[in-house]
Amino acid sequence: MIRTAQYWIEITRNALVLENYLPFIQDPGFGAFVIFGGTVRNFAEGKSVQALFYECYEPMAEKELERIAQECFAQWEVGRIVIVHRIGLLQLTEPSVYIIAASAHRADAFAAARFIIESIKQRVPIWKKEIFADDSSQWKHEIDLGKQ
Amino acid sequence: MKITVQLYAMLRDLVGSETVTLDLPEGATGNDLWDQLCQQYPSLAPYRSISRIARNHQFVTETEPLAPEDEIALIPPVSGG
Repeated sequence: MIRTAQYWIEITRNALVLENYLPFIQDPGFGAFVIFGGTVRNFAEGKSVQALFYECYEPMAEKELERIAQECFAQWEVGRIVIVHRIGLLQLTEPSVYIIAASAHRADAFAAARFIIESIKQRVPIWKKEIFADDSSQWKHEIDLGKQ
Repeated sequence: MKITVQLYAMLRDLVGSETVTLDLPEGATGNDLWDQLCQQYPSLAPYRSISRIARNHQFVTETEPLAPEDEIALIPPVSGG
């Protein structure tokens, strides 16, 4: 966990509890906060999914998330940021990630939250393995060697 | 010089180990690392063009020289969120 007065970055194996993070983003100077949540969906690429397994290169992932948060503060008038990502085995409907951006005005909070989730999907070393209904499993972006 | 490379996700599964130690010439780059790794583990070759190298927790280009004290990891396409 990396926690400063401005941002709270955490990678955890425990179930995410949104309420735990809300006091951190309260401030009389803020007029808005945006929450993005990612949850475990029951299908992927036409196949039925029963669970997801997330793996992480933890020291780098935390630092990359911190760099993303710092880029937000440089780019928008955002006051506080929370990024928490769960790893390990997650069941359907469970949250895998919460992103909260708080700011004086809503446009900055929306922009920062969007930037954070898109950046996670591009450059934070976390990988998901889809566990399908038939108990087979595959990493996302795994190359199917049989099809080459 | 000896360089230990951390592997994650499908790369680790393909090699069957979380780390691989390579013996590379002084001043070797990420490209040299990939060359030797793919020679030892040909099943990694399809991932070379879509994976990135991290040195001390930051992405670096394949032309960057590596040092034995660096923490090196190969980062296949990520899928967090």
